[in-house]
Amino acid sequence: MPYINNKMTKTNSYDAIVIGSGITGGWAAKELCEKGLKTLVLERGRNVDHVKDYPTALKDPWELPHRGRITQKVLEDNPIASSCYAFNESTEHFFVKDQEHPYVQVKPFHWIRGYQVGGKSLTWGRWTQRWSDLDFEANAREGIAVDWPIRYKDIEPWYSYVEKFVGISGNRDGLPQIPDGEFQPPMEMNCLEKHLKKRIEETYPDRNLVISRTANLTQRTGNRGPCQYRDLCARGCPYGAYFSSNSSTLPAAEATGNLTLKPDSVVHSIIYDEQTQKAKGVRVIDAHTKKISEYYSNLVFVNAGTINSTMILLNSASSRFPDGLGNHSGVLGHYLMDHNYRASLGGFHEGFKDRYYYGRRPTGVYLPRFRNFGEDLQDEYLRGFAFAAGASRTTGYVTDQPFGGGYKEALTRPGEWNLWMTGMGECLPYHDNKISLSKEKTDEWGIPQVEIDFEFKENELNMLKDIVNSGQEMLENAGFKDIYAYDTNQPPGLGIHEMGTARMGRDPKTSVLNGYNQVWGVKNVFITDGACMTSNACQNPSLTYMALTARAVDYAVSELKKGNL
Amino acid sequence: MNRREALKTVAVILGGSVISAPVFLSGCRPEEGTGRSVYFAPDDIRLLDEISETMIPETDTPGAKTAEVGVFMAGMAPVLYDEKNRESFVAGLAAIRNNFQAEYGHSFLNGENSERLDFLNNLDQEVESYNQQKKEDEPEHYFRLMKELALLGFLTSEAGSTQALRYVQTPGRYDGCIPYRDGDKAWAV
Repeated sequence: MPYINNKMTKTNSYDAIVIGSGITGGWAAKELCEKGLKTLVLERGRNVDHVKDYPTALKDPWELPHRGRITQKVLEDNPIASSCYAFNESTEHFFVKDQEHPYVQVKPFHWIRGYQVGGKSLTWGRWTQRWSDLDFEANAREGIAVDWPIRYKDIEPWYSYVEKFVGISGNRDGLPQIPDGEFQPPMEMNCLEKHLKKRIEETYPDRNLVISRTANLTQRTGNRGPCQYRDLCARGCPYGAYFSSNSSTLPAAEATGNLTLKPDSVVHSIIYDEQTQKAKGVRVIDAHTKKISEYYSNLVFVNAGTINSTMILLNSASSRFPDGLGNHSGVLGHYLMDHNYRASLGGFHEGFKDRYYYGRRPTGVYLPRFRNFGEDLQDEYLRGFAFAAGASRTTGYVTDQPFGGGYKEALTRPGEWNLWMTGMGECLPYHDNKISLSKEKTDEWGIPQVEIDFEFKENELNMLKDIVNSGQEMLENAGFKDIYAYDTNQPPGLGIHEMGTARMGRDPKTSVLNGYNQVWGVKNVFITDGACMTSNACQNPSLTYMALTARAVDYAVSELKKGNL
Repeated sequence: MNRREALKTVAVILGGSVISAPVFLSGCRPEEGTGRSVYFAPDDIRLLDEISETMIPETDTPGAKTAEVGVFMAGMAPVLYDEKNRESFVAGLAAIRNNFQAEYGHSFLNGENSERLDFLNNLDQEVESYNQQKKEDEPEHYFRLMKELALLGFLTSEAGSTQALRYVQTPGRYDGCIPYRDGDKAWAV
C-alpha cells in the first residue's frame, strides 16, 4: 500500500466519511452535515447534477432515436442490465453496463447497479410501505437465522422522520402489516383497480387492496414537486417530484456548507488501526487515473449498496480481522436475500368501457401480505408475499379489424381494460446464499471481483406456487378474462432488493452489526444500507433503510459527543 | 425526430453506400454484431411507406406516410432485431415486392388501394397460421415484424401521438376514473 505523508493526513481529514451516495448514503450525508460534521461523501461513479444531468427527462417519444426501445446491440452487450424492467433507451445511462463491472455468478444472479452520484435512487421504484413487527419478530418466532435487535417501536419515529422529508403519498388504511405513516394525499385508483379492490375485499375479509405508498409528491414540499403525472421518473425528474439523493438529501447536505462530494472515487478498503481498534479512514482509487489516496476520519458510514458494502469489509483485512473488517463471527458475506418476483399475472376485463382516466400515475396498487398472518396459516411455507398491480386500457392492440381507416380508428381509441400483477415473495436468510471475494479475478482497479452464490430454495418455491394460484383465483373471482398466471423463471437479483450479508443482531458471535448498525468490535464504522438486514419481509425495503440510516447517524453522533467513539 | 434527423439516422446506417436488399440476399453477408448489417435503398423506404400507409391511412388525421413511418422502419429493422429476424424482414420486403407483382401484374407502388388491402390482410392471416406452427428458434414472420414497426413508428411519432392520438406532455394531475365518450381518442404513450 502506498506511502503516506503527514500532509495528506491533515488535508484529507474529515469529521465523517460516507461511502456511497445512493439512497442511504444521501441520508447519512444529510444527517451528518446537518449535525455539523464536515462530511466527505465518496462515490465511485460520475457526478449527476439534479436536472442538469437528466438528458432525456423532457424528451417526447419521437425525440428518442429508437422511441425508447433498446437496440439488439445493447441487448446483446447487456443481458444482465437489460433484464431490468426500468432499463430502456431513455434510462440506460443510469445503469451499469455488463462489461464495465464484471462479477462472478456462481449461480445465475442478475445484479442491477447504478454507479453514479445518486446511485439507484435515480431509478428506484419508489414504493414505500413500512415494515411491522410481523417482520421484525419473524426470525425469533420461527427460530430462523437470528433475531432482529430492534422492533417496530424502535424504528417507528424514524419512519416518521424520514417520511416527512422524503414526501410519501398514500392513504391511511389502518392495516397492521403496513402501518400508516406521514402521508401526503394519496393518488387515486382507476375504475378497474377500484373494482378489483371491491371484489377482493368482499370475498376475502382479511385481504385489502390499497394505493401503494409512494415517494412521489402530491403536494409541493420545499422546492420540490408536486408530481406532474408524466410517469417518466427513472429518467430523473425536472420537477424534483420524486425522492432521490440528487433531488433531496444531497442538496440538503450541500446547503449546510459541510459537504464534500467526491465522485469517481472507488473505495478499496477501510483502514483499521490496530492500536485504537477503530477505523482511521478509507483507501480510495481514482476511477480514471487509478491514483491511490487515503482519507481519514473518526466516523465511517458504509453505504455502497448491499453487496458492495460487504465487499469493502471483506477486502479490508487486517491482522486483527483476517477475514474482513469486523468479521469475527464468520457471517460476513452470508445470508444474502432478494425478493422473489418471478410470478407474473394479469388479464383483461370486459367492463368499464365508458370509463377512462387522465394523466400517467407513477405508481400502482398494493395487496399487503395475507398469508401466515391472522387466521390464514400455511403448511407449505413460512412468511408470505404481497402483490403489486396496476390497470390501464390498451392502446394499439387491435386484432379484429382489417387494415385501413377502421383499423386506424380502432388503433387510436382506448382498447380493453387490462391489469398486470407481480408477486413479491419474502426470502428466508440462508447461510449458503452468500457473496465472497474471487480468488482469481480482479476488477479494473485491482480489487477482487465479487462471487455471488445465491438461489431460491424450497420455502421460496413453495410460496411461488401459491403466489401464482392465489393471484389467479383473485383475478377469476373479479371477472377477468384471458388470465395469465405463471412463473417467469427469471433469475434472482431482479427483485433489486439485495439484503443481508452484514446482518444486524443481538450477539457479536452471530452478527456483524448491533442494533444501531454499528460494526461489532469496530465501533466507529456503521453500515446502514441493505447489507444490514436480518430478514427481508416482503415490502419494498428502501424506506426502512432510510429510517435505519437516520437513526444510526443520530446514535453515532451522540456517541461521538459523549466521547465513546 | 424530424425528417432530417431521421434521414441522418438512416444515412449512418447506410454508411455512405446504398446497398439494396437483393444484393444483400445474394450473398453480401452482414458484419457480425455491428447491428448495421441490413441496408435499405430509397425504393425500399418508399415501399415501406406505402405498406404502412395502406394499413394506417390518412383520414381526418395524418396517416403513416405523413408520420414518416417508412424511414423509421428502415432505420429500426437493422438495429432492433437479431440477425435471423433482420434477414426475415429484408427477405419479406422482397417477397412483398415479387408476390404482389406476380399476383396483380403490377408493382405494389402502382397497386390499387383495394389490391393492397387484400394483399396485406392476407399476409396478416398468414402470420397467424405461421405462428401456430413456428418453432422457437425460427425467425418471426416478416409481416409480424413489419406490422410491429409500423405501429410503433406511427403511434410514437409526433403526428400519430399528437393528432391521431391525444398527447399531453405534462398532465399535471391524475384522474383515475372519468367518463369516456365514444369516439374520444386514446392517450398517446
